[in-house]
Amino acid sequence: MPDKNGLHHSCAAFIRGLKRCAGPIILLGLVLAGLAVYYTLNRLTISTSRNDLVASSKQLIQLSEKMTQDFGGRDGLVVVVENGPEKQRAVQFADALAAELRRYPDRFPDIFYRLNPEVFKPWALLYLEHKDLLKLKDNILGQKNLLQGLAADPRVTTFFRLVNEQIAQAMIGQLFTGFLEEQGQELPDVSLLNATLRQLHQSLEGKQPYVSPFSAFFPKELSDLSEEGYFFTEDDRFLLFLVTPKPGGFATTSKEVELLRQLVRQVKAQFPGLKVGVTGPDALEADEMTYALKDITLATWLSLAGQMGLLILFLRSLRRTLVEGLVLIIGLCWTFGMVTLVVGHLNLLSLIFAPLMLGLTIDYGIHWFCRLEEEEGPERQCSAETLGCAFRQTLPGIVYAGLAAMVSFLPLAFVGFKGLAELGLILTLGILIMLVATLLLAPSLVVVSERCVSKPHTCPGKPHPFLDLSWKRPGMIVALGALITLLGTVSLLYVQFDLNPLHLQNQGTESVVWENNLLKESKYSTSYGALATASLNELQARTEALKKLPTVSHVESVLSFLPSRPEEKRPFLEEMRPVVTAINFPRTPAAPSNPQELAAILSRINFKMGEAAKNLEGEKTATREQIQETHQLINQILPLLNSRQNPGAAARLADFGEHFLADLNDKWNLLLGYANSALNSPPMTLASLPQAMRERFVSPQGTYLIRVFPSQDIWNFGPLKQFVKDLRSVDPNAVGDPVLLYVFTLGFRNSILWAAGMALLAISVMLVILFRSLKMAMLALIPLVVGTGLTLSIMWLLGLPFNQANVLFLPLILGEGIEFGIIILARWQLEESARTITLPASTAKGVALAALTTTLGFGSLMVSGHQGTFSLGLLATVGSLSVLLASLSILPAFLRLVQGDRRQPFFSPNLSPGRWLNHMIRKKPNEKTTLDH
Amino acid sequence: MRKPLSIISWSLAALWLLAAPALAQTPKDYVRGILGQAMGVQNNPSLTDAARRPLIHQIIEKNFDFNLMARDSLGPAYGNLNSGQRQEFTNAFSYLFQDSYTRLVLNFLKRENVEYQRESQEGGKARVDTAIVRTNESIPVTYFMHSTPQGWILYDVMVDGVSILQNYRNEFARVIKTKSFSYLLERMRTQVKAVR
Repeated sequence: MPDKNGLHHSCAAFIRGLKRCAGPIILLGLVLAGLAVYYTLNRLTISTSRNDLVASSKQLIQLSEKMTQDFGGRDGLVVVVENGPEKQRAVQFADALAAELRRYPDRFPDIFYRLNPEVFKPWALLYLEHKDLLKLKDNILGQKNLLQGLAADPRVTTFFRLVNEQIAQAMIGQLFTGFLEEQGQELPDVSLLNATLRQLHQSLEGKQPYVSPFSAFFPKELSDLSEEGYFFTEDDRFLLFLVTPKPGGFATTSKEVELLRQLVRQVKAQFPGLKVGVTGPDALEADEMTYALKDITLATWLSLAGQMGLLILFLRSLRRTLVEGLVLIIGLCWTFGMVTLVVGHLNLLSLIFAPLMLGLTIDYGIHWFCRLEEEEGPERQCSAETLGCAFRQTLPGIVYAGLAAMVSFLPLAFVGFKGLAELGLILTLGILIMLVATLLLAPSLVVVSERCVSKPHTCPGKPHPFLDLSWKRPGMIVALGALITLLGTVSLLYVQFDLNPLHLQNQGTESVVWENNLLKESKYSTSYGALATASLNELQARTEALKKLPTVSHVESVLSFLPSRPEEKRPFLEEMRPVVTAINFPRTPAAPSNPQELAAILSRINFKMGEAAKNLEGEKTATREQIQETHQLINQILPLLNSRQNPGAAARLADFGEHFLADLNDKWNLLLGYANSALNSPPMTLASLPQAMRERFVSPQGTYLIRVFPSQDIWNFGPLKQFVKDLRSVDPNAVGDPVLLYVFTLGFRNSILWAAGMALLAISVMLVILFRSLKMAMLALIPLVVGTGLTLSIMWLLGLPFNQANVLFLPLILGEGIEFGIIILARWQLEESARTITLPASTAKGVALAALTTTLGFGSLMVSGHQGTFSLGLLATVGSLSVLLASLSILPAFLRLVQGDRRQPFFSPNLSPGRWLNHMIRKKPNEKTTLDH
Repeated sequence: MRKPLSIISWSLAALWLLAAPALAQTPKDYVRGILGQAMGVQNNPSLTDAARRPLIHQIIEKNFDFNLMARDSLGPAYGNLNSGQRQEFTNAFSYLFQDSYTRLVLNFLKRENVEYQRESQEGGKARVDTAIVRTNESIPVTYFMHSTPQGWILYDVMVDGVSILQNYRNEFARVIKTKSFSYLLERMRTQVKAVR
């Protein structure tokens, strides 16, 4: 077996060389590490933009950058104020916050929270929704008789008398001639009646202040402009305050978010009970990074402490633990130097390369140390012979495991997703560097740090079996392995790939809480699609097309700030203006109302409402509730009109009458003014809009921006896909956060799946080439296949989905599975003594320690509140323990079964390390294998 | 020949005698009598809702002058109809009015406290003001009637100031103006089928 001998001699020569060169090698390693650190600190940059994760040549990125350039990357932060029963407090808070933020123009260059309503006042009626203006016109024309009657006899009793007549007329009409109406005759709207009754009830009870009941009749936004122009969600549940922070990376944005939150807290202190939060794309990103880094820092310290403890416990040597730690640190420094030289930067994904790489490469040293311990025997005395023996015997396994790990990451380097491609390249080269560091530095450091003596040693020594297992019924264990694999295959159908990035975040994070609030309560998202059009006509056509899409909730463009379809609204105004002009309400009542007269009228209304309430099965719920309310209110009011029970009734009714008439007079004159100005003013144009508004939606080049807001929760992949598809059906060049998210998510998932498939294929081919046997290659894959099956089954049981965070660590599980298979199989093939006992204790110990360091190293991430980090820790823990279990039980059982078929062990790998070592180091036949000569 | 004549005369006299109490009634008594009958039916616990309906229907049928009401509800348009159309219209009107008024009574008139107020008569016509009074509720109802040889008979009721006959006039005039009489009759036919 020339290869075996070649390996033997090469390793002996290498170890001899170490005796002379260990010091210089370590020195060289340290110098290189120092240079790498210096180079890294000066040259390596960190890119935290998600855009940098997809290929820069992509048209989408170019379009997005152009969009940002044209319209400014604005409104990255959103202050959300939960609106109470009155808008007033939210509005006051917004004004106070704006004043505070204006003190930091360099930190918050742009704030956008209100449009000055005075600018829009002349066209106020044309800004009403088509249906609202139609309703107003119908109200005015439909209630013409009531309005005229009230103007002729301006008293509260007249109002109720006229309303009563309307109701009576409607009821008789419905009963006797309702069949003549096409859609059946309906009861009149009692909103105004109820609002007036409510206010009358308050007044008769002596409660203040008077609140206008006419908001049920006239659009409320016309009456009071002090609360207009603010950005409320459609249901008025939330007030939105948009803030543009100073441009910059993650560090800058995080500082601005922190400052904004501090200012929000300060201002909020003046408004006890008001609920306010900061969210928006920039806040979500900054919070995710901040909390993830915080959690990862804690987890890293826990992990380091735990791993060191494990190494000390297993290796029973602080010195060797420190040696292993130093090897990893030097290797990591070299890798950083390589990253700086080859890539030049780290992105959001490649930031995690270090723990991922160390999780795998720490294993190489572990396997070597465990084998060294076995060769040293109970005396644990270092010698050149044991060092050489351990090195030689573990070299094939370690090198093949390293190669397999590199091959598992190499396909990532070829995916189109830039972030993953860079990670793949860094990991592939990093593992190579760590492998070299381990093979060179670990023996050198042992030689230097321990007093190695020369001592005869039979290589390989006599291994002890793992836990003295006799493997008497390997068939049963193999069957169990097959069952686990089968279960895993079934589980694969049930384990989801959760693509929702919000699910990765810490659900208690302020930005996530408020983003979810907006989504749940108002179906509003701070994320929107963006389209640019070259002309106003195109803008109008696309806006109309977008509004028809079911996935779109609303569309914002410069047109949103111009009255929509004014030509259709003007006829409504022209129709109602003569009525409004002809009727004139005095500011004071003609005479005080008589409580008894009013009581009589109300009791007549009450009779009909009481009967109607009993017979409303077929009516709409809203109508039924309104009628029941009328009935209840009148029952409460009638006793209050009784002068004996309520001596102040007449005075309070008179007071109410004065407020009522003055209020009606104000509203009516306002309406008349608006109707006149809307009809007499020139049409509203873009030039009439405020500059801040035009800058947002019209670029210096004259293109127009359209913001498209989704109607569904686009953080979920299904609605996101449909939304982006719809956007692209209107404009293939649509961009914006949802489009980027879609491209990112899809590209990420597809790249990972492709790379995983290619890695599996490449590893299988590599194993066949190395072992020159399909059977052996299949055996090497057993820990991976069974371990993955077990992992999937547990994920199914725990309801743990794959996501964008934990899927990144799948290669770790894949690499470990392959590594353990190769380590066990290499020894099994190399050594007769190992075959006899199937699984030597030192090999099992190395595998167990390697798996446990991974478990502890990544399991510590479960301390994180960041859901992505937590799931990553959980998957790494479950995965490495599953692979460990499969490696130490199913694979040895298989080997036991296979062993029966094998007459002669062989180990003649195609790419034997012995060959290349032999080639690299010129062997001298007379050289001795000890270090002392 | 005298015998049969005398039989007819006696029969007429008997009928006159039977009708005499109605003629002798004041308008208020007449209204009180009708409302009494209706409330008797409404408050009879042995009757189901379904059983009450035909009984109320009968009371209404006996006490309203449908020919006059049909003619009056159509206004001048009535003069343009041929006798067949008039007959059909009157029949349909009569049935629909009875059905609607039955519903009105069934829904509104229970064990009520009815106040009988002013009564006025002029030129063979009379008006009786009443009010249905409950706690916190009241509704004025005015009955209009005219005298016939058989006694008083109703031709309109005004509920809370809204005349039923006037409502018919307004709505029929609107439909004839915007559509046509044929359309109106067709809608009435359809409604008769629907409620029958």
